[in-house]
Amino acid sequence: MTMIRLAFKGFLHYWKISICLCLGITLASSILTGSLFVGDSVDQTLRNSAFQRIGSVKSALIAGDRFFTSDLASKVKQSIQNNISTAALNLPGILTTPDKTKRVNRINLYGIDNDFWQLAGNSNDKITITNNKFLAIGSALAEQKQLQIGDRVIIKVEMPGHVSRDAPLSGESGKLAVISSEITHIVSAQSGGSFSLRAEQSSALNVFVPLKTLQEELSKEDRANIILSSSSNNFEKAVQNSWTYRDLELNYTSAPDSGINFTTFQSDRVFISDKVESAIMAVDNNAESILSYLVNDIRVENKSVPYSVGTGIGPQSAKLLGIQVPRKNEVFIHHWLSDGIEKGGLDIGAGDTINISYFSVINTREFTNVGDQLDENGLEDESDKRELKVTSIIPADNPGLRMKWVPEFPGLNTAKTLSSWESGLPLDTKRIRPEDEKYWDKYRATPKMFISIDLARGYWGNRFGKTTSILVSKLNSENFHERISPNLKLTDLGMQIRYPQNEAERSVSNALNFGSLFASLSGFLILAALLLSLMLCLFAVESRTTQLGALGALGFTQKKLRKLLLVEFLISVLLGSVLGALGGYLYTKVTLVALSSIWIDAAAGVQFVFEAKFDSLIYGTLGIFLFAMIVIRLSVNKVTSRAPRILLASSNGIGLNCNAKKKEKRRSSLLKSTVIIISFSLGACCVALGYGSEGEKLAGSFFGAGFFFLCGFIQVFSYYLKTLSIYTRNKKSSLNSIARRNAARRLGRSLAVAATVASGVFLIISVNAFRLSSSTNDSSNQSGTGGYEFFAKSTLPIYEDLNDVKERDNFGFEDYTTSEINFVPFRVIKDGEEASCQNLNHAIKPRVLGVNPEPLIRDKSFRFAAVLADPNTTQTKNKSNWEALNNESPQNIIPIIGDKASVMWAMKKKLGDFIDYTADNGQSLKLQVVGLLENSTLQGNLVMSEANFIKYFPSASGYQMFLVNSGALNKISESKMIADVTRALEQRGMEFVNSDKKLEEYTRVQNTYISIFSVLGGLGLLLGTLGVGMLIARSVIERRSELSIMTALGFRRTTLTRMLISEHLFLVAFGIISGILASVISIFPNISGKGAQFPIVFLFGIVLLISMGSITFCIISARLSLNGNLIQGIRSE
Amino acid sequence: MDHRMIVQLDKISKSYPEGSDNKKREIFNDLSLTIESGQSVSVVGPSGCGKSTLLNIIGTLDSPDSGEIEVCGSNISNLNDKVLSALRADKIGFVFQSHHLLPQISVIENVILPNLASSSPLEQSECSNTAIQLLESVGMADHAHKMPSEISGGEMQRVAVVRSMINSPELLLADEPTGALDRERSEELIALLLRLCDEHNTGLILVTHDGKTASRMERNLVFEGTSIVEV
Repeated sequence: MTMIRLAFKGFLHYWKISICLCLGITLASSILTGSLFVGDSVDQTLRNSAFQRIGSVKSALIAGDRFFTSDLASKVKQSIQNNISTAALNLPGILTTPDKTKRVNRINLYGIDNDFWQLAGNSNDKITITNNKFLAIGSALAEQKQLQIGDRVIIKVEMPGHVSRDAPLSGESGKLAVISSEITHIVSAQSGGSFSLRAEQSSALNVFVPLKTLQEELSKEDRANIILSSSSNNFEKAVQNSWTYRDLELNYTSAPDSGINFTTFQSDRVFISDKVESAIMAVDNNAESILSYLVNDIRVENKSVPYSVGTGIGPQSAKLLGIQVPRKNEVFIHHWLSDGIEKGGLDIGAGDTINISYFSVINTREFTNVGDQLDENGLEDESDKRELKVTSIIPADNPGLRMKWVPEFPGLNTAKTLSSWESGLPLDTKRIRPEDEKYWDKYRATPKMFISIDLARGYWGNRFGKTTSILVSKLNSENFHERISPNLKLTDLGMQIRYPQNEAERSVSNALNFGSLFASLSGFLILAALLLSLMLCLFAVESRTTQLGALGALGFTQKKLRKLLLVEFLISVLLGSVLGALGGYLYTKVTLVALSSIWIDAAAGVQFVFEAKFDSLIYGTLGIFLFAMIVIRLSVNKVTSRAPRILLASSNGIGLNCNAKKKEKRRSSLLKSTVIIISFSLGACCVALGYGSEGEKLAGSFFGAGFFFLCGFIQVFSYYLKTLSIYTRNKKSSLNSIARRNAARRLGRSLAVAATVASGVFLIISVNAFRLSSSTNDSSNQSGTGGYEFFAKSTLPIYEDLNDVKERDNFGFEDYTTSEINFVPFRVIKDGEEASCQNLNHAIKPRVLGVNPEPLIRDKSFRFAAVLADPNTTQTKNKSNWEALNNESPQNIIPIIGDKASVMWAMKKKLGDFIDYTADNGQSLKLQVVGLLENSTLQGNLVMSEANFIKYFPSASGYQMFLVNSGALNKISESKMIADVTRALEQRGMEFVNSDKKLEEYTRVQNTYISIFSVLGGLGLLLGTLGVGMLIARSVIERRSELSIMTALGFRRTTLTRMLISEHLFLVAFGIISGILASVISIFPNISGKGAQFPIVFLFGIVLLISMGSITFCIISARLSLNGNLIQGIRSE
Repeated sequence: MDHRMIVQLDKISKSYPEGSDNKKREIFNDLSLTIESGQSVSVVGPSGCGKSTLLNIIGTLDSPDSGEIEVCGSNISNLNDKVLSALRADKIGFVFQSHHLLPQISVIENVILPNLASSSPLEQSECSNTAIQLLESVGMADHAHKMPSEISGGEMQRVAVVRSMINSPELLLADEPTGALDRERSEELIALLLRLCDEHNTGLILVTHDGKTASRMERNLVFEGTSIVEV
């Protein structure tokens, strides 16, 4: 006989306890391990999805709104060993079928070559482009729209301009390229059909055509805007070493035969970026900038010449023209202007004064006429004058005039006449005279006036640039890269070098930790399972007190007794923990099925794969094992620390506390009352603090209030139970009053039951009170929709002001006034990722929006959870929180407003935190969170002021997201209006969604998490009521002799059963009532109009469930326990 | 025969709290007593007079409020649990009214249980042999491998007696060992106790309320109020 053997024999003999303990631990371990496995599964699913999405692409060059040569990819490929590099074109587009029955407003169109499939796909099933009729679609698109090989589809994309469509002289907007072809292939996700560089788990809807085909359609021959490579090492270096001026969209002009050393670099993008200009100036000290622009009017008195080109020059250019350097307000004019009026000129000469006017960009393709001496209302404005003095006339035969002063403005080359030039500016072609056309025929866009470069920049410089040509002397097409590349990288121009595999890893690693989330949601259930099994364990120990006392009398030390019991329970706990691994597997499987079905909203529609990591197994099993053993140890210590005499004198644990010496004095009634008053007072303070607060402060006050109120109620109950145990003459002696007094006998146990039930009820009801309202009744400005009835998105940018009557007329919905439909437009960054609960991946590049906040400020739209106080101003009560977007900030710090859920959960940031971001020109930015919106339709986005957006992201032209106000009288007319406007904006891929429905998509996610918690918490509570049943069983064992006496006195078994049930349900009832009261009082500040709803039906349901569960378990336990011959119990008396 | 003092009580007093208002009930006051090895002593008195308390104090399961106690040559006044447990394991045997056999182990395993607690345990085989011999001496050898639930109440009590003797204690304390037995079994058990104590020169202190049983002991101590009188 050894201690181990003795312990093992005890384990076998008390097999019922051993099994129950093992089961309880198995349950707890299963849930914890299973929750962690769920996290592993989510992680692996996202990982699989992410790496399938990017294939074997390890690095990529993304050009943004630029286009480099497709040859750059070949050079990169040659300079890196053993790699595949390929160029591609990628643009957003719209897909329809000829019969218009199928439409997809957002597809990704790729122009690719055969190398693309080697990179994008992981399967051996390689696709080959054999001819220009090739058109493949991804399987996700095919499934969604039921498309098959052979179906004809029409793809529309915006014709890319050379420059942002917001820029002046950028050409006409709204031009589309159309590809109509039959589907030749459907590409599976494994083969690259879902290829995307964006970290979103929803499958990209892709269409693939041959690169050359797309280049031709877009008039971008030999151009690409993405390079994909299988190499990550040296990619950036290879790119940097391989680009030429052509990749910067520059062209080189020289006129060697003219005898004039006119050598320039001009940009296809009209304006040369400041970075390129600085890099050229740094290596060529003779380089000089030139700025050419369209001048609307050159006027002298009542004579004017329309639509001429003016050019700003410096000393070198002046030398080439053989003129002096123009000084401020001086102008040198083309001889044509000096001609007589009959020839179209102004009949002016040196010394005369001219006035000019020109268009200046205000906003998206919104121009104001500067220099026309009229204000915005058309009234005379003397200050709006641009007056120049003619210094001299450049003769007609000046060879300098024949130089290429003007870059290739869009549309210029193809314009046969001046009137037909689609400049993108609002020209009044009626003003163009035959003489002007003659000039055009003879001289094309030769400038009619030359001013100083500084004056020209002051007039015509804009956010897109202040230089259209650079005159160079030391640079040429051969040495450009060599001389410039040390000072210029492609990333300086807004191109990005990305490492998709690293990004995919980061997006998955930083994603929401589903494992911890699920473990938290399951916390109450785990706790209930543990408590149940440990309660069993304690009962088991208590029932063997006399045995332990006898062993103590035999000479076993307290340490040996502890060891004996611990080893005995260790076997159950170890077995339970290990079995928990198997249980965890089952739990995970069930949960994944639930996440794919009833809880699909929490998982954004993802289909999960099962994955279980060894770490999770260890944490789950070991965690529960250690926790259980610690608690068991404490329970065992509690009993074994008693002297053997006391243990011997107790009977199965009864009397254990009675015989113990009271080490503490009883608290006086006064002290108890004080504690109660303090608890309730603190609770009330927390409630008071909760009023008017938001976010964490509200949550803190809520849980604080709940805790204090629960403590207070438990104290009250304790006091009440103690008064019950004191006999008074006035007390009525009934079975119910005896039952209640019985509850007071084991005060600690009774309070534990009541407190457990109360806590569980409090948690479940309160968490459900945070269930977000998806009610469609709240249409106020302070709601989650901001008061806007619709939320709209367009695939192709809309440059026009949709609130302008003329533009509505152009689009074809002029019948609707702005009071009927009104738009608040948002600019949208390219390739931004949704950072919301609908994207399980961590957004590497969160979507940023730019908005003019005035309408939002005026209407005080949306409800704010928190706003950062601007230290520079005093925030007044009536001030709109949107004004925070206009806060003055240090350089490179940009205030942004985001939805609280997105910022806190998806981006893991809080108010005042900074988010790192990169501007188009490669500049590092810090976006500071200055406001948090409460549950809004803007979830997933970060909003900055339009001014900042334009400044830092000029390549994202036009608007692609809209909040829409509808003033329609009724639903029918509203539906018609929306249908009409959708049709009118169809070519831009405009799509309207009811704001309430959009909000519901987000609230469904949060509400689903709450549902999960409720289900798991409810199970935990049910388990807790099972504990009440066990208490009854224990109680019967302890009081067997007493119940025997009652039987002998004539009480029937049914009466005793009723008494037992009444005694324990009394505890449960108190627990329920105090839990409800505590939660109602605590959540009151939250439910008063904050978008939360009080779950009355749910409350009723949970009370019913707990009550039914308690009654059921109590009845079963009482009946089973009172089975057998009760009279036996008094035979020992 | 060895007449060494195995128990020496010198002016011990004991009282217990009574009621909720800090009152104390005196059990005994300035009690002195000596017992020699091999002696059999009965302690008799009405219910609640303090018989079991006296036994618990001698058996180191309780401590007096004042006075000195020497048991089996050790002054037990300020000893810790470990030392007291060792004393109980090696030198004192207990027999209670209830047998307190462990239901999960067999008869022989119950008998050799105290060996696990001993500070100098015997080898398993030696201990088992001793146990068998002792069981034989009480006619229980055939039941050695049965579980306690398979033997009668009287047989269980005999096993409890054997268990108390396995470590050859110097002192055996029996607290109403026949309380749960009928007349015939009671007499058998008392005879067994006396024989074994005589054979092993073990002192015996037996608490009983039965006069006839008390008269079979060499010495009879009677509780009168808070003191003991030897009759």
